[in-house]
Amino acid sequence: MDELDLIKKDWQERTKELPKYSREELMPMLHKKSSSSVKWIFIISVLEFTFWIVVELFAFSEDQNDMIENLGMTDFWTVTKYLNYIVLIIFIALFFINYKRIQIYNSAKQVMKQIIKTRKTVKIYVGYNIIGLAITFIITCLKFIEYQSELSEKELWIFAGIMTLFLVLIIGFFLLFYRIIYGIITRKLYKNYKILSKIEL
Amino acid sequence: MNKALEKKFIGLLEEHQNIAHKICRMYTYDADAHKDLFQEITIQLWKAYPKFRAESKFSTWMYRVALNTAITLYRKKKRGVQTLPWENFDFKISAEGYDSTLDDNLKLMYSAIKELNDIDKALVLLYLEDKPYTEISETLGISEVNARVKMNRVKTKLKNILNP
Repeated sequence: MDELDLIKKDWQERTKELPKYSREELMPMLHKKSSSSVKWIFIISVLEFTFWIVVELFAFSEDQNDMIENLGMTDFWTVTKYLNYIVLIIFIALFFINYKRIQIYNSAKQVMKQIIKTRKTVKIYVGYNIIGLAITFIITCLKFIEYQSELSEKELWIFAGIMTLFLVLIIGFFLLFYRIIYGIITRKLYKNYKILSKIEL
Repeated sequence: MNKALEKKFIGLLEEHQNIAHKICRMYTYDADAHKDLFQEITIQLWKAYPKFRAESKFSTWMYRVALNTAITLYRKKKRGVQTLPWENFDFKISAEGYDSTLDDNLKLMYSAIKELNDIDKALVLLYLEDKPYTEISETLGISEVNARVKMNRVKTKLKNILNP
């Protein structure tokens, strides 16, 4: 007899020893709050979208209009602004469509795939923002350098250095944020998805 | 959600709760974690229940939701050390319950199963539950052939632990 068949008999006998909850005990369980990873992914994603909307609002505040105008970048900023709003709406729509598609009763592989896809939508959006931020930042800095006349060459290099450092810090912060936050939530999910995918190879 | 639906669901849950308990037994190490996972499975089942279609068996559907909760959604709450040595838990859910007169081989097998990864555990669980390979493959989302191949590998792995 197979080793596993031995244990099968034992396992099935042990069913009798499992805990048994009454209806009264089960009832309150239905309405408790979930602490599932999908719920956390959802919450964090919504926060990310909110964060970028806030960034957007600040980026186009009145104070900066003068500076933008002085640098002759009004058109550039207007186009960026509307482009960003359109992209934001598209990403939020995609996020919700993907989120709705997570059906816990599908096969394990499908469920994991869908969760990863939902995650990816937000990840790409954030990536787009960081790259966009870096590009606008660099262009604005270059324009500033081009238009100014008071700073010496040495001072300009210092300015460029500080701006580069600033950019690296921002990007570094986001990368760290991703490693920590999503690392904690999705480590198990990715690990199991990898194992399942490997079986199919 | 309406009361009638809730009542019907509680009835089904009470009747089939063993499925969730078995999955908790496979994936958790102590009574607290068992309860915790059982709670999360219940929430997920209830959330998905309005979409449950009677064309599939409730038990099959429940295995899927419960397993998905255990291997994809559930996040262990930090409660001290999570991997306890075999002697400490004797494959028990709580102190009462299982007798400790397990034959040595069985003990060894159970502890070996506890060491498997989440996916192999799911395979073993469905196998121990006498589920046909068609159902195993559909539950996990892999082909039937691959489910068989993988199961045989797990069997060999366990055999080697018994006969080093």
